[in-house]
Amino acid sequence: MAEVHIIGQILKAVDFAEPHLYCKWSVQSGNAWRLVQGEVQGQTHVSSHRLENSSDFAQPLDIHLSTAAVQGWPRLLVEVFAVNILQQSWPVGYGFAHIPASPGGHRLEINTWKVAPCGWWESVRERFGGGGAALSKTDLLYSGVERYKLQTRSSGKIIVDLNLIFRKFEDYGVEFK
Amino acid sequence: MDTKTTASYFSLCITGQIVSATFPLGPDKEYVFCRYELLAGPDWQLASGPQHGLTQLATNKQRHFNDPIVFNMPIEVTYKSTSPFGWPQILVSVFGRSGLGRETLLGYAHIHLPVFGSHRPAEVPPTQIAPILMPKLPSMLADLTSWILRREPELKDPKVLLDNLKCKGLSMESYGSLEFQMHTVMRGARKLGYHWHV
Repeated sequence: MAEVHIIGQILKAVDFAEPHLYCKWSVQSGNAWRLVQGEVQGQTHVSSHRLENSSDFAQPLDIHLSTAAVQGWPRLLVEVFAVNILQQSWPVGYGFAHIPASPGGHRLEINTWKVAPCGWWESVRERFGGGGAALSKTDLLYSGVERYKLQTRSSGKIIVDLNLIFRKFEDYGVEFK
Repeated sequence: MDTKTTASYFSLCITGQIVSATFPLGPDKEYVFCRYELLAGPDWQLASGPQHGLTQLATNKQRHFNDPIVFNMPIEVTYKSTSPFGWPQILVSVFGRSGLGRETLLGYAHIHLPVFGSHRPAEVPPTQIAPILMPKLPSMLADLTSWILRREPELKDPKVLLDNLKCKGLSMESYGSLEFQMHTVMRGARKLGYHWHV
C-alpha cells in the first residue's frame, strides 16, 4: 500500500469582505484511500488582523493516508464562516483544491465562492441580519453534478502551505512528472 | 533470503534560529522575550538538544519602531522517528515586559519545522515567517477589566492552538510576525522508501 503524508498549515484567509473569520476544513478522498493517522477535519479559531484585512489561522495539518489506487486523489475542502458581534456565524466562502500530485513543498491558493443573494431583501439581510444564504447540501462543493441554477459570487482566497511526502509509489509503478 | 539490516528509523537534525519579531506599529511593550517549546507526535524522540528555551529581553527602542526586534536565538535539535506523522512543531509564546517590570503576553506563533530543504538560490537564506496570534477576550466587560488591571489574557495551555478541533470557538487577533531561519539535515529516510523530492 502506498502512503502519502500531508504536513502543513492552513495559513490565512485574504480578500474577504468580513473581518472576523473562521474556517472549517476537511480532507476527503476516494474509496481506495484509508486514513492511517491524523484528523481529516477540523475547525479553526476565529481570527482577525489588527491592521490588515486578512485572517491568520495557522492551523496545522498532519495527515497520513494509505492507498491502493490512484483514483480518488484527496481533496481539501474549506468553508469560511464570518462571525459578527452578536456571535452569529454564516458562510462567506466555499472552496476546494486537490492535494498536489507531486512530493515537495507547495503553496495552494484556494479561491472561494459564496451563494449570491436572490433579491433586494436578501441582500439587506446579508448585510445586517446576520448572514446570507448557505448551501444545504455541502457535497456541491466538490461535485459538479447539480450546480446548474445556483448563483454565486466570488469571495476571498485561502492560502495553504503543504509539504507532501510519498512512500512506496514506485513499487506500484506510479511515476510523478 | 538475504538478511540485510535496514535502519528502522530516520533522524532529523534541525539547525537554525529565531531571528526576530517584527511589529508594524511597534510592540505593545518595551522589552520583548520569547519562550519556545518543541512538540512532536508519539513516534518522535528527541535525541539531542533542548526542548524548551527562553530568549533574552530584546528591544528596538533606540531605532525606528518598525524595525525588527532581533533575538538571534539558536535552535539546534535532533529528532529520531519511524514515521513522518507528528512532524515536530515549534510553539513560541511571545511576552512583553514594560519598563516597570510587569510581564504580559503578546501572542503565540507556531510553525512546523521545515520538511524539505528549499529550492532557492544560495544567497537567499531560508526564512519562515509565522504570525503572532493574541487571544481576544470574549466579552466587553472582560476587555474593560483587563484594561484596568493591565493584565492580558493568556491561554492556559497554548498547545490547544496546535490541535485541529480544540480551538473551536477561540477568538484570536494577529499582530506582528516572528521570523525563523531553519535548515534541515535528514538521514535514513530514503532507505525506508520515503520519496522526499521529485
